[in-house]
Amino acid sequence: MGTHVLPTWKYRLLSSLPEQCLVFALLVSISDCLFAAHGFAQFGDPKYPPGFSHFEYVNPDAPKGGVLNLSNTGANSSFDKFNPFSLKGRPAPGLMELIFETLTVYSLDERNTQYGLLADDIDVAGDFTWVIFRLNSQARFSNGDPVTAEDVKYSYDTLSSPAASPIFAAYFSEIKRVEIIDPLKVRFVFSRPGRDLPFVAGSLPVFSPKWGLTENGERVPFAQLRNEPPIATGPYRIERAIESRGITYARNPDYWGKDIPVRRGTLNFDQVVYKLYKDRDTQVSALRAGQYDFFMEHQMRYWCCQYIGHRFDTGELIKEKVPHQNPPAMVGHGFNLRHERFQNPKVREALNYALDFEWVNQKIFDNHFGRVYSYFATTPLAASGLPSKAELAILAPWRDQLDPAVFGLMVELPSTKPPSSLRKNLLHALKLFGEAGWHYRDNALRNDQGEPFVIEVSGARGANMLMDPYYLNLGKIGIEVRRRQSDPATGRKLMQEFKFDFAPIGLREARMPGAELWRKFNSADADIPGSENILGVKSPVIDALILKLMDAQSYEEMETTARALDRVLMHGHYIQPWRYLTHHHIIYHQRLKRPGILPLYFNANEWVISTWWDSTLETP
Amino acid sequence: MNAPLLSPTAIERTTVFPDQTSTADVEPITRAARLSPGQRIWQRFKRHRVGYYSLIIFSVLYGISLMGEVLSNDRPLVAHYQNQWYFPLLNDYPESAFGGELPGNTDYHDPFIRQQLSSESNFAFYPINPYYYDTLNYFSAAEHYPGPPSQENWLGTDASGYDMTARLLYGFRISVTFALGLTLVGTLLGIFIGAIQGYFAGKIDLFGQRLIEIWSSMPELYLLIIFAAMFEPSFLLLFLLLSLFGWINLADYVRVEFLRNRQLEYVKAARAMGLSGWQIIWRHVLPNSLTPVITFLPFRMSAAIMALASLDFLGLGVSAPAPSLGNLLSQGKNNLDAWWISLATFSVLVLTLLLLTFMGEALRDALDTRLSDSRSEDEEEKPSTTALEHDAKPGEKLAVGVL
Repeated sequence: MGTHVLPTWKYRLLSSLPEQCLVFALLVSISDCLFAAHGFAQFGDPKYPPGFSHFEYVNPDAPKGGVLNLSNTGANSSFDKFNPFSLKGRPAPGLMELIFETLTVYSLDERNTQYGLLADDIDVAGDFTWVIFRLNSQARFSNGDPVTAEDVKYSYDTLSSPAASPIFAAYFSEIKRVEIIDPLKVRFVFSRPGRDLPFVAGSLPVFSPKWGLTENGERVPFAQLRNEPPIATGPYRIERAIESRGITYARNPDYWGKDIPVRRGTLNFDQVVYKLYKDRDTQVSALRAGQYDFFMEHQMRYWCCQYIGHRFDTGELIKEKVPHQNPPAMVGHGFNLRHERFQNPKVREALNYALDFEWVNQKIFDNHFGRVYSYFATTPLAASGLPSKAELAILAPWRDQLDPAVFGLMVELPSTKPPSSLRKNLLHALKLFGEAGWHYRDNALRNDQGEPFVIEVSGARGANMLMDPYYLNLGKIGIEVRRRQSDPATGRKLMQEFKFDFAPIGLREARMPGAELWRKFNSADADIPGSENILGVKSPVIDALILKLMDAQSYEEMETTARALDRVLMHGHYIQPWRYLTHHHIIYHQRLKRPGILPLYFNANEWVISTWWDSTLETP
Repeated sequence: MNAPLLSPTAIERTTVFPDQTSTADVEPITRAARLSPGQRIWQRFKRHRVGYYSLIIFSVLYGISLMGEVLSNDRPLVAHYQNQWYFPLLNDYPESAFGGELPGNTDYHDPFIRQQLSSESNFAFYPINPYYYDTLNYFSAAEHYPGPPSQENWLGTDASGYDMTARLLYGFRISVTFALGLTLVGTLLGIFIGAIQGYFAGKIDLFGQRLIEIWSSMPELYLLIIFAAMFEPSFLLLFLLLSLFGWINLADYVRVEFLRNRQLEYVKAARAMGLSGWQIIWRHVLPNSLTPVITFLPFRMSAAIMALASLDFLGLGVSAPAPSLGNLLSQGKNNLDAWWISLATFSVLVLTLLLLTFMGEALRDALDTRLSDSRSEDEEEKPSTTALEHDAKPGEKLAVGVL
């Protein structure tokens, strides 16, 4: 029930860091200048100057050596290939982090800034229609070959071809073409001007065309590459791998990038071992038995009650909540707007009032979750209070199409904390239903035609625990809840055909706030079966505001547009907001040590692999 | 009401020996023969102590669970509010009856209603365990769910916050009821089909067997999954689907019994006297072919209980919040630290199945005519190995028709 399960690759791209971009430095005029720099920030200047020695959140003097033992990270409990890019099969864990490198990397303490990794210079066109990367002349593949522009183009061509998983083609879809300028320079031309697109291009993993070339010169098709060790530039190589047991990576002593700024003080372990367990309970038991060193828990049920035993008593294993600032994506449940009874925003608001989030958070989640109170929760992009002048200016042209409430105070989510209470909330819900034409009579909430208000919900096993209290409360105000149990395949089909009343919906965490909102809310998709606009939102206002947000030319413009959009979306009550984890819940072995400064936006697994070290190696 | 299939009268009715009258004048009357065969079987059953007590315990437990609404319910049995009597167990009252504002049915756990019902001269009399199987312990002070056993929830709560005691009670009730129904339907179908095949034999038997072979090769589990996708899963749907396949084994046994009995002389005699096929089946062959059927009853019941539990465990059974032992087991598996879920559910299942097994053994012994039933053996616990020694005892003669 925790974070979304995304493929490793996507996860790394989209959620290891949050998405909003902020100015940390002065805003510069970008009208026609051309960036040529060691790094690129979406707005403003990168925090770290050219020639910086290392990131603040690493320890440049961390001792190298030792072993880091990890366990399953994704859903797979075994693997059958070393190619994380193809569609079929299950890739080994850790490949993306340890074997492959990208042109640029995000820093973990800035909202949206990339620094060169394989590239040592980034030129972005003044109108954001292309980016040129100059490759580091020292960059070498694991077989000793230098990395050239040819290789970058080959990697791009391969990943955007049908040989790779369609996820990559979709991810890189806004790159029109890749041009080789000289052996070390490569240009990515975009299909639209976009400040976000240099980041997309920079996220390209690079590998050698010789990967898959057999000794007698034949080529194994990319999609069929399985057990051939990748030829890439990463700091580790595969030492040992057993499909059902795990994989061991060992440091490549000839790694080219030991001393470049983005790598200094990172990747300190000589060996990284992934041990694979068949199911979660075994995995947790193995951790208790000390079989591996680090685990990130996102199920509070386990967090509260499973991490006990003598290793915890003696301090050998440490259980800790680490704060982070990853902005949560909007997740929750939505109502199908294709049904007439859900079309009135009053009805949707009333339905929100029946949800006792505080109860679920306390009784089921042990109070570890925060509530997603906005589409940009925890960031300055979230709207609050009354709209500012700038926000009003954005909203004004749409005044006749918008609920007057949008121009008032920002939506405050119903809470059952005193002085409010569930009883008051339910009565308020009834009042709102009354305004929308639904009244309680003959044992049910009915409209003027006498039809009862019925909601069909999924009876799937996992959902019961969380949603039962909500359904109970709906019953108290006279709404009939019908549970429908279906297997995953049928459930997916029903969703694709938009045959549902009430369904969970989650936006993916993404760096750029626009694209994901567009996928979920654009009007054009509302009538296309299988599209991501499963709620059926059709609003020209929302369409226009999302486009404006994606096209923002300055940080201020993005902020005000995002806030205005937040108001419109929240007042539409399209999604009944749910929860996010405010901390990383981690369990680790006491011999592992981490830098004093925490990064801000990070994925705990990658953070441990890249910046922690083995304290037993420290020389006093 | 209690375990009707196993009540003495039922056995009596179904095991009347048809040839009793014809053999009566042959043998001098022994003590055993003074009793009707049904009574004799009942006596033998009673003599099997473990089985007999199992029957009593099982009937009592099932009886208690049938009274579940009175024992475990979230509504007061009786309430007295502002000089008026209310019977929430029987009637639904809106909250306004007790001074509330919400229009729906009263939630008698709501602290506001509780306060209304306990102020001044008002009172409400709650059942001993104030939870129904779908009563979320919403207003509890518990830290988080699943909560351990406490004064509030004797056996703790499950992962959603439902009371374990109530869920086990109703889960037991529905399992046993389901199993009784399934056994009854399966047995009737099995007897009917087996009897037709066995009695008429020949082509009917040949084609019937082929049809059964085809039918039994249908993948039951996949059919269940497919049907669960097509229709709303409910006890009725599960019941229908399981009934469709539940009779096959039994039909085989009945068929074999019939095939053998149709050759015996009393059947030939009946045929010679001009009785119709159905009369012979009903009056003569059927009662003599029931031993395997009755012996199997308790085992079929435990199989039915397990079938329901497994389907629920796999998530193919009925949807929440219906009480189901299988669902509780899967919750126990998912919450290993909440020992009270797995332990309590496991105990209930084991106890149920154990009682049924004991009853089955006793029934098998009671119907085993190789065992003597003369009084001299009554006092001793007789191990079944001694059965063969008594083969030649006089009491056995009467039962020859059965085997």
